[in-house]
Amino acid sequence: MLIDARQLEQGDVIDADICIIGAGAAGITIAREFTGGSTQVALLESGGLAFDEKTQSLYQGENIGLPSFDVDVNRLRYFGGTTNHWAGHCRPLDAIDFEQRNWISHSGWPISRHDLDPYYLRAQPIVGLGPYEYENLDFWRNKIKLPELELDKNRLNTVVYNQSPPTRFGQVYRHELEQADNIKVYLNANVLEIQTADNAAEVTGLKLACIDGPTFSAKAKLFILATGGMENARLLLLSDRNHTKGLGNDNDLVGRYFMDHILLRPGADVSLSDPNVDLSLYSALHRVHDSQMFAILASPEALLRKERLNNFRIHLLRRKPAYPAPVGRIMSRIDKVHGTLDVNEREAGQKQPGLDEHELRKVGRDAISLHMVLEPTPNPDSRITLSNQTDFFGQRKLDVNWQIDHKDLSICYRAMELAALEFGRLGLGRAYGAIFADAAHWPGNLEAGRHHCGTTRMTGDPKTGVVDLNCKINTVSNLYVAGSSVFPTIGYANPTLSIVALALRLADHIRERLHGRQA
Amino acid sequence: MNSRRGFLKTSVLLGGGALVGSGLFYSKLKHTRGMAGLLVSFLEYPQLALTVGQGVLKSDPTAYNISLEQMIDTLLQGINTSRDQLPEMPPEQLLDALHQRVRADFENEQIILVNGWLLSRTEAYLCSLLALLS
Repeated sequence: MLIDARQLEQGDVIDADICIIGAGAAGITIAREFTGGSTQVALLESGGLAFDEKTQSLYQGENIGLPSFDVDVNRLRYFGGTTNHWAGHCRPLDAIDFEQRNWISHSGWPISRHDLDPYYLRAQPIVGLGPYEYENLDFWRNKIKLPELELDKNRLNTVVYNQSPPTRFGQVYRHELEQADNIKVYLNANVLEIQTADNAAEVTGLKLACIDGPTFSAKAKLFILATGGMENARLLLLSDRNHTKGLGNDNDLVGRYFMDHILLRPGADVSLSDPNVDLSLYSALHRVHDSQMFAILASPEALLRKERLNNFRIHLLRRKPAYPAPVGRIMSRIDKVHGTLDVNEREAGQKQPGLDEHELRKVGRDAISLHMVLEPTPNPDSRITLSNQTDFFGQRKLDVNWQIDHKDLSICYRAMELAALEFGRLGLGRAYGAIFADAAHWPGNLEAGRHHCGTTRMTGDPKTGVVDLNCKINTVSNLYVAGSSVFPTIGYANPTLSIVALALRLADHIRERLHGRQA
Repeated sequence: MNSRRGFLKTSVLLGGGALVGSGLFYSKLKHTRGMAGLLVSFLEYPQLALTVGQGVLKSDPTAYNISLEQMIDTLLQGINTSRDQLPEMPPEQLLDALHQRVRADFENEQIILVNGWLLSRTEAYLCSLLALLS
């Protein structure tokens, strides 16, 4: 059932078994897990069914960190959340991403990939994906019949990525939620405060308001915060009535370890010595029945361990190259490229053999761009705090201070180098990148991946994390967090599939907990 | 014959004029510049290769201040041959040796960074040989 909270009376109280704050990928997934049952669920969404400027402005904050981070445009604040504009790239995190890696400070989940595997399997169709065949490249290649690069598998592997339609959770699951008698979706319902008992150990209710409507409240047995990687931290910090540091923030960890993928688009461009090489397995999207896939490059675990690298992926895309001249074509004969003869024949007749501007422009298009996505090193100084500026409701806005470890620059360099080495070794082309010209500074095209993580990190120790392995706030008995803010590290994979998998796992835990209480 | 056509092309670029007749072509190979010309004849787009080679000469400590003879020797050592053997080497074999050497460079991370490009040491030196010739 969908309810416009603006129609509620001033002072109304919503009463449910579970209150979920935020109707994005995580919130909607958890709510759906209870459809048709006896558990009463209130799903609270700040926005309506469509984008609204005034509601969106509640997300405004200030970037006080690296200039390449945009606070306002990444997230969407209406039913369906950021899935209303996500790209749809999907892959589970790798097993190594969950490990405590002694070369990556503050790494390590309290759960393993094995623990999440069954939930990834369940998440796959929810996100609109087909067969769960991420580790089986042949499954796809047998159907699409495209050549795979003959990579040195000690350096780089061809890795499967899936592409969601992309599923807009608000659109796709609206009807189901509307029809569910036990699910009430409250639109235009902005949570202003998570209220607790005096000792801040239990949530007693939520204070809510509409932009053009009443102020009201919500009560439940259990509460789930699912408002995204930045807003989850903000709401905890804002809920400081009984704990001056903010809820769940006894160890000053809420908002810290703010992470986003480190992007270089491109990290390098490859001037192809062979203009006819077929890289479409990587550079194009392929439909297999109801599924879509493409391939990326990533390093094997053994290399990551040996060279103490953060995880990374490289996309191969047909883009206009940044290099000034197609140096790869110089090496066409040395690379023994088929068809080189044609070029030779053309040039043999020229009075001034060599560089012809027209020819150069033409062959300059024979390029492949290497887009780099790097897992960041968790950094406690990269953080979200409350600013002194306030929003429409008088709530303090966010200051976002995205910082990245300088060590990560050398990993970006190495990743690009590995790709360049492989393209050269295979005789496919030569790579050009700003990072090869200046390895001491981040290239000017450094940007964030718009995947906000880490601000309520999950660890096995309350002193080092905000939530426990069940995503419950360590110091609060009935408050859980869903979404990428619980990720202590983020690998290279886009987070949505993992967000949904963790949401399913959390829903199972909540179900067990409630069932136990009822029993 | 591709290598011969490349040799002719590069000779024009270097101001050496066209070489006519196979006898003159192979006798030229006995001289240093002829050997260098043969080696660089496998590079496409000589003008562009020249620019790359000039960059290598400026930036690479090994290539800096190196003589034409030393550069030839460095390259020939890389493909396990010598100046004496070069004139007798069929062009296809020479091309294959360079191909294998370049591939091995990338395998073994024997690389040179020049103006933002990551190149194998052998191919970078081939380009610098062209710059030395010019």
